[in-house]
Amino acid sequence: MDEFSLDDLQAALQSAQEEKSTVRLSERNVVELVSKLKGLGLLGDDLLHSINGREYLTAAHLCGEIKDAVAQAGGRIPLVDLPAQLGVDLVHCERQADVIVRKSNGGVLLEQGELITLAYFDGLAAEANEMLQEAGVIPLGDLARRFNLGADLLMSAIAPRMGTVIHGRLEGQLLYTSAYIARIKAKVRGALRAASAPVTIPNMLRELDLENLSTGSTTISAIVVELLAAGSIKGQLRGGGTTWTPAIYALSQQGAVRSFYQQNGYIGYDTVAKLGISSGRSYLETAFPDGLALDTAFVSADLLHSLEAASEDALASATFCDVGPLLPSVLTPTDVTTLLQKCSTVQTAEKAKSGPGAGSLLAGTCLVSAALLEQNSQGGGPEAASAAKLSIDALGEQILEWYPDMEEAGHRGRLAQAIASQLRPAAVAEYEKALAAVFVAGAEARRRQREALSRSLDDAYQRWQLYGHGAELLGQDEATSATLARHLIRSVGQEAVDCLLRYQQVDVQKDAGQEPADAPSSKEAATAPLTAAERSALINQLPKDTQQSSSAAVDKLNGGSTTEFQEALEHAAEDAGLRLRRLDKKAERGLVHAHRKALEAQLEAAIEPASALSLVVPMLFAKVHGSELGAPPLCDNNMFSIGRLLNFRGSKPASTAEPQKKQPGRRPTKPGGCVVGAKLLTNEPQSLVGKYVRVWDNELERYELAEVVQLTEKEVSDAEDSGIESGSGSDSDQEDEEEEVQLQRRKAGRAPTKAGGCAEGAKLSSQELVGRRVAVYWASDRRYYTGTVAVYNGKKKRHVIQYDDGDQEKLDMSTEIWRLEGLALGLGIVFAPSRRGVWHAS
Amino acid sequence: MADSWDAGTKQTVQKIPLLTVRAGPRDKEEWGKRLKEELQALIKYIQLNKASDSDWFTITSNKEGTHWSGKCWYVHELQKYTFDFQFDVPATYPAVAPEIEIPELDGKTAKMYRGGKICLTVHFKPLWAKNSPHFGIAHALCLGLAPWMAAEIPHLVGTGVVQPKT
Repeated sequence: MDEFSLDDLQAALQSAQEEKSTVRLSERNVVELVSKLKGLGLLGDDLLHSINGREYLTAAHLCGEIKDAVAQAGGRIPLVDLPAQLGVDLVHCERQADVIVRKSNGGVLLEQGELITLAYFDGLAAEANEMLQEAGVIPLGDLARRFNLGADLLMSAIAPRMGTVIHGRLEGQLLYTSAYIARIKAKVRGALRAASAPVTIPNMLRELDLENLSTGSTTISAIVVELLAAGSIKGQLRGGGTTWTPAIYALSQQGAVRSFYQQNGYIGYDTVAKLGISSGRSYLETAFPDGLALDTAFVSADLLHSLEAASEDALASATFCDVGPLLPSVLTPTDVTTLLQKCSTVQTAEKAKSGPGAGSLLAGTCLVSAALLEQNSQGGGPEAASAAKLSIDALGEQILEWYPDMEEAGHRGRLAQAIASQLRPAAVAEYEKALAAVFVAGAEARRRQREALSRSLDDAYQRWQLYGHGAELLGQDEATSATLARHLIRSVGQEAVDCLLRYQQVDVQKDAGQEPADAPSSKEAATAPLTAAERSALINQLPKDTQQSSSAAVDKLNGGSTTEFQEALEHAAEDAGLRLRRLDKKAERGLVHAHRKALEAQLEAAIEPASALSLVVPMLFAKVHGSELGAPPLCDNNMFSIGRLLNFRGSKPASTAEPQKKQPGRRPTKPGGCVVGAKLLTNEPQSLVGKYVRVWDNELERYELAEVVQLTEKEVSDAEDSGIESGSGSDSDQEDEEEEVQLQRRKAGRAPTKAGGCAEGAKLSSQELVGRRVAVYWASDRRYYTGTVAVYNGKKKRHVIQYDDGDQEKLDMSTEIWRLEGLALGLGIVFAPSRRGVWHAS
Repeated sequence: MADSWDAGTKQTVQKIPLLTVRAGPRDKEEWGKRLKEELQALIKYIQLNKASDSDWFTITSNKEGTHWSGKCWYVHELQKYTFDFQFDVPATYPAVAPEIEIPELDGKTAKMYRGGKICLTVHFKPLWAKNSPHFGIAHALCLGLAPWMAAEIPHLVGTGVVQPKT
């Protein structure tokens, strides 16, 4: 500021004033000016104006602008784009475009509303060439679509440039390069060379992705023919140029047929068809003139020779032979028969009646020598008869047993049956002869068995009586005697019944005239107890007259009464023709003695206490009472009651003692333990409700604090309630917290207002206030702060207020000025009280 | 006259640089500084006017910068009306605004004091007082003379009191 003197500044002021001010003409004025000039004829008629009316321009200028626009757009521009680009009406643009086209002498074309220069076509041709070199082939249609040009126009543009700009061939509507043709040729050559089976040309083209070629299949077949002529592929093009059969395929086909035929001596027509030869029979007849043409297969003469050799062999060694395995499986039975008809050996064997060369054709495919048949009818008859198998099927099975290799022989394995049908008359005669001899055998063995069984039945019955006497001695003890009776029936009774049933069974088998199948094993079987199912099966076999009494005895097995069972048993035995002997004193003593000896021997071997006990008790019993006891093993309780009966002293059974189980859990001590409480309890039981009492806990062995909730003496332990117990550890914490709040209060300079309270709030109890929204008045700030009552401490009569600004305070609501706010937002949002809340000075 | 200044005027005034030196013509050294600021503010104002094609006055002063004179003009209905104006810088300047005179219109309009001093709008004086010493001559012209002319000239032309000078 100081660098300029006053004079300078005054001069500057002057010069500033002298400066020309910016002059502005309004648009309206200009339009008027131009119209006036036009009116005066000073401006020509070709004065145009832009679309927005802001610019005037001459036709010549527009012409130049259009040319520029075309050049800028790369030589091609739609006329409709011009107005937007130049800001001039379309009509003027069109008019000027016409002028340009006329003046250019073909340098510029107006095609379908587009201005196109020749330079553009050059560029287009170059681009098309590039695409062509890259793709190998381009349909003109694609080009036209790509450049958005008419096909004719494109053709006229491209045709003159072929060879110069575009390097390739133009054929029809297709533009392609020679490299492309070479590539197709290579692909086709490769595919056809790779083909080992006939391929259809269209399928091949599809796989090669050539089917969409615009060149079409004529070109492809031309290519194939060309390749064939050149010798680069070998094969034949059939079916009007649609199927290609490679030479190697025909070769391998013939090779396969030949090798199969030579290896197997035959070839089925279906096999030939599978290999791709349609007219198999004629083909084979020409290929193998020495073979035999059957209905289903073509067979070589070698097969016939081997057939003859096998039959000769069989006839010579007096066996049979099955030609089935020798012949191919594809042959049908009729084929086999025709084949065998041609076999000379078989023919002669059939004709011969007997002798070494005779034989017969059985079951379609089997040649059986006459010698074999004769041998069988002589030797096989008796054996078959002994097994009583006289049906054709059974005979056939028997024959199979003798000649296992016959199983598969013959048509569907029928050889054995065919032989059997021939053998049967001889076998039947043999059987009848043998039958009489067989019948006599076996009577002696049955008698012996019956004796053994009746002996064991007697034995069992004696034991039954013995134990029965023993059990009667225990008659005073209901439970024991019942158990003993049940055991007696189950063990000894069962044995007796089983013996009886077996005895009867032996008789029954004799009646049926059959040899008992399990005769050698009946000794062990007689001792083993029968199952219920076996028993009922046996009963079913018995004759009607004894069946009823036997089944009654078996039924009694499941009952508990010894007398009933004994009656039933005796009745059944009577029906079976047996007499059961009663036990006399002498015999009984002997039995007891023998039994005791047996028990002593077992006791010496016994190690386990329980089994030893079960042995000792009957032993002692026998000693004391002179009678025997059949007790179930490991039957503790009964043993002990028997022991009691025997007056054993000093041995208190451990297992019978009821354990005095300790009941888990708390149990109040019986004589109610509170002197003061007792008065209350007797006088006013209801007054105890709500009081806190100490109850002795047996398990914990200490008093537990609890609240009496109901008169039903149900207890609720409430020892954790902090508000009740004085002197608990949590109290000091609360005081700390309060101190902190007090500190904060002092910081804010807040003096608690006395004589407070709230009219509406007073209606609510202190506890009800918890969870409510309240506004507390702060005198220092002369305003209310809102918050939620989080907790009420009943002992100190303090509410904890959680303010919305995050602050927290413990208040005596009776001394505060406050009012209720809107509804509580719910306890869920009451945050855990933070001990170090942020202080908001506002 | 309008009750308040229009938006354009306000905008313009805001563009004029404010002055800082509080000095009147009686203060020797300080006045020099003040005068320089005045001149610079005027130059700026004129440049603004020229740029927006709204140049409406010329002004010059004596060497001391106590007496100012110039021409002001107003275009109404395509006619340009030009008047001479002059004023002296008062001794109490810048506390008191200068009183601009247009002598040739003396007695022709009611909005004028005797001697050709123009009557300014009621808003002018409080504004000046409020902005003293930051307002200068440029502001006085912009906020005083310009609105007066805009209000009075069309009226004077309309009543035929003023004729265009041919």
